[in-house]
Amino acid sequence: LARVDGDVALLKEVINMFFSDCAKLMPEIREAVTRHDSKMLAWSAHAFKGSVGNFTTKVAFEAALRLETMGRNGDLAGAEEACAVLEEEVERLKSSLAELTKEEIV
Amino acid sequence: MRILIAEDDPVSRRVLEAMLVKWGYGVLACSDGAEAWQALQCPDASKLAILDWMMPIMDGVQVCQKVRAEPATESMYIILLTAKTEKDAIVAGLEAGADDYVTKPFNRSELRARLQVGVRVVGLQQTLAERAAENARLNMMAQTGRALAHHIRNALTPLLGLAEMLEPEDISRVLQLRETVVRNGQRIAATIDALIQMAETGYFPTIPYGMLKEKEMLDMDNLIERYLKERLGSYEK
Repeated sequence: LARVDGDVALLKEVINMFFSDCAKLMPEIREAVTRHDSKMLAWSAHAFKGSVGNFTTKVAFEAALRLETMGRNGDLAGAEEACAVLEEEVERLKSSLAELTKEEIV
Repeated sequence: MRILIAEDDPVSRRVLEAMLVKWGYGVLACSDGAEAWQALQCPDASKLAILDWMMPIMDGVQVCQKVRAEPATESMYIILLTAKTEKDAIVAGLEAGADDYVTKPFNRSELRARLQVGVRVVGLQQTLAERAAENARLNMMAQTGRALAHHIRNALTPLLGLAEMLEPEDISRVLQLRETVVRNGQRIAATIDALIQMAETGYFPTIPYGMLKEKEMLDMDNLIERYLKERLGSYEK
């Protein structure tokens, strides 16, 4: 909320945009890890890192960054684990954001 | 001031846009580098741009290189947005023509302060450009003034010469002097008209403002001659 200067309407808008990003990019990241597709992983993790970086969640940001780096280097050892961390953190973030939106709107 | 932002991530773009609007800037938001480059080429384009480093189609660094390669856009102020881990790339970004960079996720106060630096630089550049144009205009006036004075002297010299040699009984000389007085008098009158017009408007009658930039290409004597011919034609009529 501080990042958007307390603008609740804007917060709600960017949270919805973030949820759309999650719905699009998280399956792409998972697919890239499963298929060992470095290029796809680098791009989708980079895109998601930009989106998640707008929220104060260091763990999710760093997990996305790790995945992007792995994709760029073409070395996907540890990608499965990083992806699991990212998925878990994103679920936690989504719940917090959903709660926050409800609270702020009420 | 209007700022162009180019950011492919919709969340970051929206947050950035809202932040800039809140700080009082106008915003033109683009979703990739190619769109940004197209917008920056418009005659009324923003003089300050915030470009994300990694974007599809054309990245921020490629946009920087294009901006610096074109005379019409080379003076734009560019801030690159880059991830913290891309330190090596920062040097490449600055070498490609970026004026500054901000690491992502960015700190609002830092971005605001860096933007203010950019706004100051753009303002200074604009002041310098205006002063250079004013200097060019003053140089042009001085050059034109000298050339006009030269034309008046050229018209007066034969009049004075003939008058000094004049014998009242020499009818042919008297007629020659009368003809010269009329012709050169008209030239002097037209030259003085040009001087008055230049004093009133700041420009020589036949030199449009845009031509000041090409002043080295102007042959002032030739220009004044053409002007005088046109004016003398109208006197005759």
